Amino acid sequence: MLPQPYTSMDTHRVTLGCFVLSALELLGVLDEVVSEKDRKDWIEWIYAQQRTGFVPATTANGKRTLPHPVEGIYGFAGGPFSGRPYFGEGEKAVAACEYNVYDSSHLTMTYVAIMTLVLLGDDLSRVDKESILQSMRRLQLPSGCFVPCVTDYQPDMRFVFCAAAVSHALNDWSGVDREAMLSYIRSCQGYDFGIAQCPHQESHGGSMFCAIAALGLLGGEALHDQKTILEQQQQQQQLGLDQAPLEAQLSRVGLLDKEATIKWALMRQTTGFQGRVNKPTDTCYSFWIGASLKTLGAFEHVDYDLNRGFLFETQHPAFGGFGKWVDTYPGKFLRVEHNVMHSYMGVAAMALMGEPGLQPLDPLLNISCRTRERLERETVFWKKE
Amino acid sequence: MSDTEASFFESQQWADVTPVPQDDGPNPLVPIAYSEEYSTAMGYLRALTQKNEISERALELTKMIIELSPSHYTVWYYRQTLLKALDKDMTEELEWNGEMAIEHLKSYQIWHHRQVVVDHLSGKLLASEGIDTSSSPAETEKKSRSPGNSVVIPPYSTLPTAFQEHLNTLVKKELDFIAEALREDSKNYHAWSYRQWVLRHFGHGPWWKNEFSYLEDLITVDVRNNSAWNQRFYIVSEGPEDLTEEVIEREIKILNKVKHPISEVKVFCETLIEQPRANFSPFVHSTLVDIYEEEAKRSRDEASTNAEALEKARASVTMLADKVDTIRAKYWNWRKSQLQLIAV
Repeated sequence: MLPQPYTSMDTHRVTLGCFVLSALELLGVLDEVVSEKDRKDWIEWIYAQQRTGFVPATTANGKRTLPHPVEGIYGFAGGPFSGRPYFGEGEKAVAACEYNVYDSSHLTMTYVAIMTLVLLGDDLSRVDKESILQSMRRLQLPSGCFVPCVTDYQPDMRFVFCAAAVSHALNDWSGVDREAMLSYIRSCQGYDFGIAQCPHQESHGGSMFCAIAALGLLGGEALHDQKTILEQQQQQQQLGLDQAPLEAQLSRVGLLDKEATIKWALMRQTTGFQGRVNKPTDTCYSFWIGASLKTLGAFEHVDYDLNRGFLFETQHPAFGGFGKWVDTYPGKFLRVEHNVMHSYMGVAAMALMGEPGLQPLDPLLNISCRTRERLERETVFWKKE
Repeated sequence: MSDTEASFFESQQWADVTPVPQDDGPNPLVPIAYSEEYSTAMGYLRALTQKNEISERALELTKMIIELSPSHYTVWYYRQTLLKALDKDMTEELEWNGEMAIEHLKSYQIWHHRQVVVDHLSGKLLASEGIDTSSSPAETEKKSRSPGNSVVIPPYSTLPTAFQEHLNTLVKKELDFIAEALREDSKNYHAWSYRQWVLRHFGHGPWWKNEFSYLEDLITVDVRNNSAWNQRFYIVSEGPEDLTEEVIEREIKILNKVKHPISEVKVFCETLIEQPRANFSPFVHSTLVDIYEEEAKRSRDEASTNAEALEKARASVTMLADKVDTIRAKYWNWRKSQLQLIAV
């Protein structure tokens, strides 16, 4: 049971669960700490937060029908705060609930719920893929960015990442206009080649993670840059060689100048990392920027000793867990989610550096490498028949 | 629960409502020890949202819950629906929202709510003046896809003077409010994001020009305020004026004002490293490495120029790796190894 200050996270509860379980997994003790009964109960609890447009098999041939295909936004909610009744078996819950806008899903919660289900050993067989994909098509804007849900509709890079991660988990990108997504990510790179939440905003380590991880999940040429293409084009021109159509090439890559983006990220190391130019060093950026550098293939340039030293300084001597800054601890936070969130981020940042005793971390999905392997081997959307 | 809240729900106006408790199942993940106050208020909220009740009491209730849990992701929307349906006074709403925003500077929802309210207010202003807000087909398409569509304001120069005055007042009020928030935290991402929206949403009015002096003030107070520099770039590159020679000249003058004479970047940096203190600046050397490396790449046909550029690049990169930026020694040594590849 989390203490009262966590009330402000009531609509995001599944996120807290994910941080805690994922940290235990990185520490290698998840199976040891979580009993078989809890594991099963929590899987049921997460499925109870699923909102779906389908009613379960009711017809003779077992085919499912879609009662409200258009108006709803489906996926997972962060908790049962809207007042929907709890059902032990997911399918019954679906039949019992009509769509209500105040009971809708949230794209971040969908990403987090799916990752948590995989962490707990579920095979995702009850995840309603079609409803989620259909909703994602409605959540993507013409700019290529996403809003997370109907009731909270401010678009930014966070939801681009969530859409990419959900598409990967479902092994189906048909819910996303990928070209528009790439274009949006490019539009958020400014004059310093860092990456912002929205076009024209200040470059930020958190939005950098979201963008770079999305590019990594998109795969193909997404992590390449336009500067390199233009340089190659120029060289070919000088040599009088035939050139591939430029526009098409440029539209397939997600970065403007990869070397400059790497440099921006490396320049953020002070001891740990700062999230923006001239901002204080903060635990979570050792993860956000560290993971970005890992994906960009430049993590080996980080000074591990200083980064590790900073992270250890923020660890609380009695409670354990990592704080946001040195000398901060649970009671000192302005926002309580920093307890659980920063503790997870601290562990995740250590895992990126291959800290002995920690499971290796996948810098794209932000789960342990072996959890990602399990996702791609044992869940229904990936399993080879 | 405080006495006020207890009596709030005991009053006659709630007698017809049966609170709906949260059903968390037998063994939930991450249960929270809610305060009694929050649980009670949420019980009533669930009852009202399940019927989508539009009423004054619902509006009061949303306020109570928002104050207990400001990042709740559906209650704000309920409040927005209620405000519009009940045709409430949006000025009053902005006052309350302002207090909340200063108290919770880092809440996405509070700042977004302000944007929704101001957007609605601008639409109402336009309608009261009988100004056409019907949008182009492209805009309509955008609206049908986006739940967060906003009012489309006709170009500023085409608006009646009296109405321009209305907009000037509204925009000034918002920019003043944001400035107040930025006094609390001059790098607040939400405040800057909302500031860009205000500048952009209301079109090409006089506020773009005023923004220059505001930013000069911020930069004078803290020359390292990167958020202010980013905003400066935004208004120069996205504002109503063209990027002319004069504009570029003026921007360079700003740099003079902050006591960094600047002519051409390379010459400027080279002058700096002659000075004992600046010779220890990683930023100066880092910029020079980039410049010399580009020079070396471009002079592949001229051996002497290439060799000279490479030599200078090596000098700066060595300085960085060994002395002034040792935290990135691995990176700079890698950059040094890359320099070998462009030697002719």
